[in-house]
Amino acid sequence: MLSIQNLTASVDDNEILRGIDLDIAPGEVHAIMGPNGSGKSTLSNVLAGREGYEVSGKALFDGADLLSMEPEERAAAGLFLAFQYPVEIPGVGNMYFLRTAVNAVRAGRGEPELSATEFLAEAKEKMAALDMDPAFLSRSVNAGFSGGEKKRNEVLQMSLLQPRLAILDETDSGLDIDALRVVAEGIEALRDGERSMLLITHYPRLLEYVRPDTVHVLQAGRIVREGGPELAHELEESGYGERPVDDTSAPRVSEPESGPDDSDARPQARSLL
Amino acid sequence: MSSDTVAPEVPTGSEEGQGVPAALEALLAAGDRSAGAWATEWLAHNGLPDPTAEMWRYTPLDSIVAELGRTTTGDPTGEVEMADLDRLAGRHGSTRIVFVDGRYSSQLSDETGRSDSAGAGSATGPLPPGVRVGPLGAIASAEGAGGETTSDAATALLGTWAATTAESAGADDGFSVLNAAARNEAAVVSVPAGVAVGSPVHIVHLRTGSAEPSAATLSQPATILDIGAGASAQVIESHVSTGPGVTNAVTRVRVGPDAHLTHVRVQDEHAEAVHVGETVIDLQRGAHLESASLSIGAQVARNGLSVGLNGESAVAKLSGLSILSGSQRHDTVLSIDHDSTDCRSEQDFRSVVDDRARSSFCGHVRVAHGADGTDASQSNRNLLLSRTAQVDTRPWLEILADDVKCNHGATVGQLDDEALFYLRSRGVPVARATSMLVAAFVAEITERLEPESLRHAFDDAIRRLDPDVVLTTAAVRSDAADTEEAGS
Amino acid sequence: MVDTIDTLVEREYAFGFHSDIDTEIAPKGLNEDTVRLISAKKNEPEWMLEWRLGALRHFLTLTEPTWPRVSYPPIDYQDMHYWAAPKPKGPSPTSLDEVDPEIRETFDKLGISLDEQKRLSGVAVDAIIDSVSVATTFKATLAEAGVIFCSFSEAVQDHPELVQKYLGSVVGPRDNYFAALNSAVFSDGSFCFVPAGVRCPMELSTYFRINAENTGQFERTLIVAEEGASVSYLEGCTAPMRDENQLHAAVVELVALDDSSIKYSTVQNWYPGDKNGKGGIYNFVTKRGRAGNRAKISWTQVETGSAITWKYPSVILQGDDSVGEFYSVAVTTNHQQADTGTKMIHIGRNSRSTIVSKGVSAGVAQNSYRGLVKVLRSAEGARNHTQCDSLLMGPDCGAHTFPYVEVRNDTAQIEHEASTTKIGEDQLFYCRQRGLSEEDATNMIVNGFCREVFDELPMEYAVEAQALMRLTLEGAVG
Repeated sequence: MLSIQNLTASVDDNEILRGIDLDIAPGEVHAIMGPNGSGKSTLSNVLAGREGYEVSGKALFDGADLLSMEPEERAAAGLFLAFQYPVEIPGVGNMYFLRTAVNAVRAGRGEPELSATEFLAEAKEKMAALDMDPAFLSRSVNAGFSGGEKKRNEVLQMSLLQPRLAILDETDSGLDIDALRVVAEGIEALRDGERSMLLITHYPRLLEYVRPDTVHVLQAGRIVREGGPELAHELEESGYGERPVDDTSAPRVSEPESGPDDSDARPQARSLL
Repeated sequence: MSSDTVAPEVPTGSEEGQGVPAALEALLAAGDRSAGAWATEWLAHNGLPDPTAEMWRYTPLDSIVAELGRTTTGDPTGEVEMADLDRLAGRHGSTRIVFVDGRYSSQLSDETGRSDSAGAGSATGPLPPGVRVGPLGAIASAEGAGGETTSDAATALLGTWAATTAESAGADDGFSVLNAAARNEAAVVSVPAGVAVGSPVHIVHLRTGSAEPSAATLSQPATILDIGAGASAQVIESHVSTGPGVTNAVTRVRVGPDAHLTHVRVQDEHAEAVHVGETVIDLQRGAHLESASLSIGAQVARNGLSVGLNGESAVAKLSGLSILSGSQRHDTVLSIDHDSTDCRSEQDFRSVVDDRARSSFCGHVRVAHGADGTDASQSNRNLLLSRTAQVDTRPWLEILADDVKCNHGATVGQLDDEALFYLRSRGVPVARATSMLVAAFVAEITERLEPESLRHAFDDAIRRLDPDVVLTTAAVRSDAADTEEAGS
Repeated sequence: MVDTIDTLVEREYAFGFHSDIDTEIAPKGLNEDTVRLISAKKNEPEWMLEWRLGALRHFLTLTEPTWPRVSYPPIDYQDMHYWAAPKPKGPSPTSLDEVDPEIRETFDKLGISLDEQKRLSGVAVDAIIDSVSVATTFKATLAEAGVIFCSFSEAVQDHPELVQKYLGSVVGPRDNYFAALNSAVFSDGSFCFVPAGVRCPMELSTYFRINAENTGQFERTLIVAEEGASVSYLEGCTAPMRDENQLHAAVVELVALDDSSIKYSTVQNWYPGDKNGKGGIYNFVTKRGRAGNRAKISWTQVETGSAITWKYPSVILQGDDSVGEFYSVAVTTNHQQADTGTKMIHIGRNSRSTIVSKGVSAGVAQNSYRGLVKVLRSAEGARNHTQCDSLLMGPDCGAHTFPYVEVRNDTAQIEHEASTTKIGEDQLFYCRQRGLSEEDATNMIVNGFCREVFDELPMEYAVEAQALMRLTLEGAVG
């Protein structure tokens, strides 16, 4: 379904991804783990089509050249990114936003638009599963949501948009244990043998709920280890840092100075609204 | 009047500009010289504002004065059909009073509130006893024998207004004085102490075009709002027109102790019109004002708003929105004076500017010595939608007290990249995502407007923006029905 | 609180002494004769005289600006000396050892050593008393690197081609009222030229001292950084306590060619007048720089002195990817008035500017920020962020913010934020509860408030600036 070959990405001559190879077959769930600054968020941003990166290499999505597509074309093709930091959009109603998105993606799949009533019925059902208050729909997109509410909203969108490949960028971060369980169940519920997932996480705890088929360790812009779910446990015990992983392919490079995670390495986009 | 006393510095460089002093003189001669004598004299000495004056810095005075010069050649027709009125100004309440070219039109007005109002949801029926709505003269003479009546306050207000203007008019007040010189009948809303007016009162000032369509007409409407102690009301003031020309409007407002006024001012004039508006609001102890200034129509518009927080614990919540396209030029000039303790003012003014349009804003907050406990916030946000659009902003604070909390912020720029990407990553095409964000930007102001019919005033203005920006504000907030259903 | 404000107004100006130096002074009055006299005293070439006379003629057609939010009685420009210089005792000194001991002592008292051996910090100093440069240190070291650092008068003599090329290229002789006045009668100042590719090996500094009575000081500073060059420059200033107001109308021009960088820091501590507002310097200064492609100009100022400050260090961001910065702390106490800020004129593509202004107001002082951010149509992708904060210490002072933003390009992103608050009572209480005195707590809070700007100063001056702040605000707890 997704085939990535020698993918690199840099911002202002700072190379963040240094040649990623990754294949995800239909129905597979992969996890990418790695320390702060390893390039995890950059990978998800590049796959979703955020501007501002210099990208080379290949990424094929069902055989189509993902990197040449606009963000909305990728979405219509069935790629979904759950943002690490979902964006607040004051003034745009959540309901309106969701329905516009769902119908745009449906149109891309050649399916008829959902009427307001049909959509509402579906949304309410999905919200109930995620333990979300329907009043959510009448608020502005993510505006004033708590961290947990934002993450639930991401999973709700995913369940409504029914993507073929979902990339979940640190969806577990900032959640307490109860919220994590609800979100994880929401994700697990979308696992149907057809849909593929790429879970990006710093901590292994999400992987206890959503068990991946394969775990990749990303370090300094390269995948340095691969293994089964047991690798996540191993990392939990020994951490990322000291292990002399495949040292020929993983030269130590200084991590970007900034931030608790590599999302700070993305191009600066100023918020006006 | 010699030519050097009236707007001597107007750098028009055009032929129209040369006719200005003469035009002003003609206007003054046409007015009632005895009644407006002081104003005539004042103008002869002071003229219109100097274009180099700070508060007129970004106002296209040359265009205004040039158009004023043209107005002497076109008489208004004074003819309006009810259907045109509804189309231009809408019906935003059960009580609607209409002034055409500065004169009261009883045929077009409904002073007491229609009992068969179609306005869903809004309170209908006649106004509470004691509330006076209509032209000042009629109200004053009808109650002349009544002694202690509510309209005394309005009459006094007019008197105060005229007197203070004569004595204290500053160099910048030429347009207000010009309005006073015309001595048109003022529209009055007077609410006695303690009375709550449940439904909105809608005042329409309509300027008709000339019989000769290329000529310009002049209208100088006046409005007086007087809200007694503890009273509450909502007033919508619409300025519309059917042809090119100049509207020079003055509004004087007094909100009494602990009274509550919601004032919405809609400027939606003819596309070639020039609009100059000056609103002065006096807030007394504990008064609460919610004001929205909506600037949509007219080629050139200046919206002046001065709010005096003159009694302790007064509150002013001000918002405004300009949506400009083509070569429109709008200037919003606010003056907020905190003259008393524990007052609060909030400003949220926005503009969306497309094509070659130019929007300017000045928010001048002054906190007087001793006005402790002041809380003043100000936000001016401007969205540029085209290469050639222009924005000027001056978010000013002048503070002479120390126990204050003041902040202001201004932004000029494009839509938020992050939000745009987020929408696109969910499959929304870029054009639609853009229009959603523009509409959301606008909706944050308009969604506070009541009655809801007001919100639609913007739909046309938004449609005039880029072809891809076609969503209406109502749509982007999702249908009310959807939302309500979702919430239930 | 009233007590502490009283303490504040009684603070002493530490640099208010007057040195007994023999002074040569021009007759009072502003006219062509004065200008010719100044030019002759300095043995200037004809072109320099003509340039001055042109400026004078233009000045005489102008009226004094009234738009700043400051007030002062009319200045009689005829009742003032336009040139004063320490009288040379014998032939002019050929080395620093020969500098008049009185002058040496003056600068020693100010903490500015003219003795290179004693100067460990590696800062080259140009010392200016009244109208004349008396000493420039480290000239030889700088010359080795190709850097010219000398008094303006010397530059006119020794490097006329450079002066002619750049003088007035950023602030023309007709630029504004005070710039025109300065252009006509400027006496001395510093000249600095850093050739292409050279990183100036040490900090450069000019120390200005007004000593003579009834004398205006009109210095002119010109700094040129050629392609790829860089230089950091600092000016400091003091004046004796006198009952009369004295006019200081300086012009500073910075020329930053492509890929160069100029950092200009000011610690301004002119005599501010006494607690009743008597005396003090009128500091009416025009400072502006022009930045070429990828060039950077950074202004940092700590303004604690002067009765009135009127200055707007500005940057014309002419080149693509050019950068302009303005970091300012302005402290006004007693009757001081400040109207200061900056102008950032964005012309080049992707030009960026940052404005951080911190105003502190106490006593009955008035402190205004006035700034312009202008983005021209050509300035694709321009960015500005402005942060403008005011702190009020006492019920009778004023803090004002007058920003102007003019945007002509839709790809620009401009953000302006400002706040005005009184010094936080809860912060004070918190500090005092932890054992700090009210005064220490105030200092700590005010220093924290200004931290962002102090951080921009060269290290040793940051320490000096903080000490100065402490002195200025002594007792100003409110």
